[in-house]
Amino acid sequence: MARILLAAPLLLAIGASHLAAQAPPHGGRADYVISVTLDAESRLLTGRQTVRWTHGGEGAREDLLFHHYWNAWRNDGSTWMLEDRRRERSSLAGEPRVEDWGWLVVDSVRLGGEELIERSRYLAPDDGNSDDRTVWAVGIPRAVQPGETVELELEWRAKVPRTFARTGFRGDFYFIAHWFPQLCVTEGTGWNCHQFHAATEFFADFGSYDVSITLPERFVVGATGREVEREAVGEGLVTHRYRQDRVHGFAWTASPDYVEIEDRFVPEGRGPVDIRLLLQPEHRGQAGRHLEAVHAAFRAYGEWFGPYPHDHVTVIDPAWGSGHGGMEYPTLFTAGTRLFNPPGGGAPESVSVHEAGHQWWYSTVGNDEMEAAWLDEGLNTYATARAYAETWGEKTSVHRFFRPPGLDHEPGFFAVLLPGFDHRGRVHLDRLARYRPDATADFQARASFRYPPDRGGSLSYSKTALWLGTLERHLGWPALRRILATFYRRWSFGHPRPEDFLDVVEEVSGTDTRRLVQGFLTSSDYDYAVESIDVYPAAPHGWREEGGRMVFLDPDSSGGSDATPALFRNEVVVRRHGSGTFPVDVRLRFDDGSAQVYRWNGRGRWVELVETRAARVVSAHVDPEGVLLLDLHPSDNQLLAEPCSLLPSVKWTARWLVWLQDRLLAMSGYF
Amino acid sequence: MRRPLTTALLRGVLDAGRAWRLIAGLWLALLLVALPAGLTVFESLRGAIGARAVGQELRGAMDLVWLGEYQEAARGIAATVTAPVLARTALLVNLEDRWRGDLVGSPAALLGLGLLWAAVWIFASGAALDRFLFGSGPPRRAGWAGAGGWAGAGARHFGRLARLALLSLPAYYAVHRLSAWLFPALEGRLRDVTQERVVLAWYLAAALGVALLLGLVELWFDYARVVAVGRDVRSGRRALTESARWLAANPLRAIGLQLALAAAGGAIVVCWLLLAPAPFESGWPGVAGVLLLGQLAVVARLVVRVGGLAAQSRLYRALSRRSGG
Repeated sequence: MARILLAAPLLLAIGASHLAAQAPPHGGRADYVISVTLDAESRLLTGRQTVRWTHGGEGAREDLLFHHYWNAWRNDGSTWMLEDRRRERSSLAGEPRVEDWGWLVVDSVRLGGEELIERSRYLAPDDGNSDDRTVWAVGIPRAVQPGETVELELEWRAKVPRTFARTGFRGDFYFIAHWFPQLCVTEGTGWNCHQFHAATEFFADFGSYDVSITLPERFVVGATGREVEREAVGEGLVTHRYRQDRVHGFAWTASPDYVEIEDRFVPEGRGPVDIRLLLQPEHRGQAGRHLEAVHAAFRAYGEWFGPYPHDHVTVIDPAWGSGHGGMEYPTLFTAGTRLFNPPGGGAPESVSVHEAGHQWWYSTVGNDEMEAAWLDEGLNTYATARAYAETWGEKTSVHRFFRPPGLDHEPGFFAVLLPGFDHRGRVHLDRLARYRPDATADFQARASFRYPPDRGGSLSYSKTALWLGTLERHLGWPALRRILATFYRRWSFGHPRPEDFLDVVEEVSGTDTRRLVQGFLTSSDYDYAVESIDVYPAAPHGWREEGGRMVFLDPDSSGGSDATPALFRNEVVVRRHGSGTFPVDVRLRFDDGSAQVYRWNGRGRWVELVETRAARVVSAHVDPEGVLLLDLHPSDNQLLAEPCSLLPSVKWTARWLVWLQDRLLAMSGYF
Repeated sequence: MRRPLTTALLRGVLDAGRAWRLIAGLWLALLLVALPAGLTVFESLRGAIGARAVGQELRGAMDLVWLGEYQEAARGIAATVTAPVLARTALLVNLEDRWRGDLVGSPAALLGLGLLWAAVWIFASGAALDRFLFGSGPPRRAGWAGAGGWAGAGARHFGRLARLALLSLPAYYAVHRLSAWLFPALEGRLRDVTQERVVLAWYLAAALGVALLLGLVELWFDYARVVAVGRDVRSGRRALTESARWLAANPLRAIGLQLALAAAGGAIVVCWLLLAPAPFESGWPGVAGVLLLGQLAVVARLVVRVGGLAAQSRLYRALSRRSGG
């Protein structure tokens, strides 16, 4: 029985535990010691865990509430399955087979040696669904008081699902996340504990994790934290022990195929961050691209928001078809790539930047992803686009070919770049196409788990990125950066709510900005447009009384001369189509080369701008600087007095015509 | 004739060259069929651009923000205006849709145009087969001369070729249904494979199988058309039976020719992918270039189609003569 002590990491871990001794600034604390064994034949996990929980809320607790996320895939009656049916996004292809389902059962739960399993029950606080077993409550003999710490011991079994979402197996590949009975969070006088919903993610208290994973020795293992010990325990099994402090979850993965690559990021003026990349062998050639993306994210986020608080990160390249790509966990994230991803097309770099960025927004600032998913997903989506643009410039459009019939979820194996199809370098505007159809799906201020399951992502990710981009243009990057950096600093290892974000906005940038952000959260759609441009001779026409007599004024005869140029009355109507309001500029350009900019508070339904001068207006542009990225139809923001040339219509029709003719020819192949 | 396949191919190309009037006529007909839809799309684009300043930018590269807005409002045939269709991938889109069985789908206008073009093509292919099988001399039968050369031949064969076209639909449908079943079934079998390259290899093999099946159906019906015209067979069933017999007797050469024709068609798709002008050019010369090159690509596709009819006719004649058929 060989025992390998990984000395240096252990020392680091001990050092880190000193940090953990500092109480997190907000909420409670949950420390876990877990021993889990994977039976790779039956795909069963057997676990024993000790949870040491410090009550961080107010009021006594007579029940302890746990998440049993894997019970979402126990049968098709769970709330997750019911919601997923609406959004049709399960990673699982086809109907689940018997070996595909997953579950979690606690066999024993003890407090101070007293067995409490008979006092346990399942709850469905969100929808009363009696088939849902994702929230589990244990009655305890004596109420836990605020600030008090209790220690529970649990024994449980879990069947690893084939991946429905984010966690599970495919062949010999395992990605194990949200896999153990995890305590919910106490907030105020109650528990903040939601069932597992299809479109939202997770929420838990910070704490330390000491996890020993026993599994066959052929597996290469990656996990949250650092490996501090590895021990062969006989029968071809090895136990890997990982430790990590100040995290709110623990994920691990195992595969015999992983290629391990190590790298290091050294931020300016701070200690290095060790990067461990576990790559699929077929993606070996993309290792440099993954690492470059991680470096780009760590550099940008570190400079913009604040330092990464840990000294290591593990990057997982999940197996093909496993459904684990692009997901964040504390000190570990999954990237995602394909065999064919031409450089410049955005993948895999943008996924890696995004998930690496979650080490700031989610892993360190631990907002409630069930109630306010936009706080991490939105902030991170915004920052991802910014970091990507700063590092690589604008992505080239990509279309993927070879989509096998009957597999509508398969985007295609071969990617072809489409040069000449772009967003004109306007960062974040690629999000508009995703956001537009869902703009009125719901109000962002609503709890995320209440969003329509198939449309909530647009609100959490895209809308937030667009309004943060808007704020950046409105306030300037330094001001927005201050807001985000303050928010990061203040809420590291805490559980901020939307109000906390608004408080930081107000503190850094004032009440008006807070109102603006509140508007973004409570308004559904923004859409301004220049409706019309009309130019009339300003000279009067008709009868007029002058000195007691009626005089007929003929505009033709009173037209301008070189000495007195003709005056024009320029009328421009700007309209607000959306329900949201935002202060906008309106710029008029005139045929003498001059321009006039008006400020409109954007609140009325429409405004008419009248400008009388010796020049005709040639164009009107609402929001000429493109500040309001949330504008659903930015193309109608600028109107010319004269229609455009036919050239663009002819040009694009000519290209389309080739496609149509070829398509008709292809059809005639049938005849 | 030692190498009937090569000879058929070469003579087919020459025949197609001699039939340039037919190709020109077909190109014009194709343009006329497509133009109303083109005008609809043009009007739709013009309306969407209107007096918006984005029109100035659309002289050059495509603004995807504008395209997104356009697509949101586009209905009917205008809804087919998408980035891959406007880009150099246009022909690849069609090739993939042909393989996937997605060519004839929504919108309804596209189906209508497809039917109209099918009628033109059936008419023209009847005339072309007649010419390629019997030469360009005076028509053999008095009845034909009465109806006028090309038009008469096209009209004479239209009914039987249309029947064959109708008969081919269930066959193609069956292959596409099989394909739509095959890949999900394959996915189910590969659900524990963790490497994309393994899955891709299986899918490529399956795709090749589907393409071969489609090619075989095409082959069968192509020679049924040759039989229908060449042997004056009115019955679709009989033409198919004779075609099957003939193919069974000459499988390699017939398949070889079909592969050569598919390769020629594929080469045009690849050429368009590589040579199609990127949409950066912002002036009228750029538009003229797109029009010219685009129509050149269409003509090339027509040459391959008509050349294919000619080569099949040559091969059929050569091998039938040799076997005394």
